[in-house]
Amino acid sequence: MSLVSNILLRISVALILLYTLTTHNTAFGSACCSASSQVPTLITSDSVMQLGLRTARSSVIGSSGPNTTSRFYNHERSDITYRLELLGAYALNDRWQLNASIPLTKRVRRVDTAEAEHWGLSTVALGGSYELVPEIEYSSWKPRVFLFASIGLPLSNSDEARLDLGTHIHGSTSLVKTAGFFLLKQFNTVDWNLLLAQAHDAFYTSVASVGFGWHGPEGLRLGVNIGPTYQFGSGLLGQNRLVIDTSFNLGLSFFDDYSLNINYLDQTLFGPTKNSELSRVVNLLFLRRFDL
Amino acid sequence: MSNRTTLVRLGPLLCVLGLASACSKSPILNHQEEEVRRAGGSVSGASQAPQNAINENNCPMSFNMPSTVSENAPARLCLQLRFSDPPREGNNTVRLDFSHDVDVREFNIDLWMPTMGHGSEPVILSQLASKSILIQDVWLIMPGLWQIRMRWRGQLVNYEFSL
Repeated sequence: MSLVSNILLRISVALILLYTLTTHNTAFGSACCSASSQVPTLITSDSVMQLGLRTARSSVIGSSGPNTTSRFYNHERSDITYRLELLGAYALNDRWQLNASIPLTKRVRRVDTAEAEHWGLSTVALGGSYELVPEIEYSSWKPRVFLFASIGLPLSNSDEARLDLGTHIHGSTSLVKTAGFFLLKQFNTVDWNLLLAQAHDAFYTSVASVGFGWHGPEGLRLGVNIGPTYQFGSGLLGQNRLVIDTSFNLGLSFFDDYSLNINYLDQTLFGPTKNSELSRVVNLLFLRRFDL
Repeated sequence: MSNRTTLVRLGPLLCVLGLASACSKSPILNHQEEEVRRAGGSVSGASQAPQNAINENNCPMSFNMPSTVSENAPARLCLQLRFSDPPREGNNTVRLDFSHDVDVREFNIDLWMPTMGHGSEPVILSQLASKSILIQDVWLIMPGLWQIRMRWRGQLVNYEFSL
């Protein structure tokens, strides 16, 4: 990559980061804690590019109030979101990557006798990442550290969010800016990871997650991640929202360049949770890597 | 790797997760089930009286109808408001039943705490039937006196209740 494009890329990511961390605009907010991953598609292998297709089914099964009490919905109410997402990442060099995701979403909501559904593009995200601490020499403890930032395009409007049983699926009404760190370390047959991310659209959302994995034979990986998602001031009085995401992961790599990942995320296992809907999500990710 | 070794490795992790779940205020271990409606009811409250037809004789709240040339036109639009469950801190659902057909797009509804000088989040309005509107995401964020402020054709009607 030429020197000029390298400098332009660095400036772009720096500007995104700066914009993410310093701006504040008020707009109609998206639903809290949508259980979608805040981690962009990162290339952690030696591949130069990877493409993925993810399908997900998310079901809201209840909600938590301000005093952390939870109520699960009865059979008269359902709120299910289906998602088909195209993911891509491209390594510009050893440290810099670009990534993008294009999700197509359908939401079906039913309350009593009323039912509504809506489908379309959800938040389209574009981002970049920089491997702050690469693993150039072997270390038994030092993790790889990725710094990432992304912007999500605002495809929603506030009118949409208030009608049709709230089946809005276009994400936020304002630009979603996300930045964070992702630490990853594999040692022998185990690995751990740590995510710290901050997103901002109408509200600030902080996400933290710690995960552990075990690598078995034939490209098998079993993993678990747990961490809070905290949304600041999304209520008019500055009421904050909190959910604890717990996910279980089964990964399978095959033919060297392919992997299949099944993930189950549950927001009802750990507390406390407050001021938020509670979801369960199953997603399936198929990934194809391309080498140099 | 044998199954036994795998179990030995996963065992402590599962124990930690189980313990953390039990010690934290886990929603799955500490939750209430939403009440199921009574037979013949609707999103109406299980704790409230069965629904009666809303008309001039049963008119808990009302808007004035705009003046029309017809003398037989109703003088007011009556409505009744009911919570799906007894109001609670957190997310609630409310149903509005009217004496005449209404269009949800003509309504603007918000939540307000008059003694506190603040409200809550925007609600979601849906047309449940020609004479019924559903209000979702009625987030009551604290105990106290609340108003559901309903605006229709330039008029305001408040439903006031204590939580």
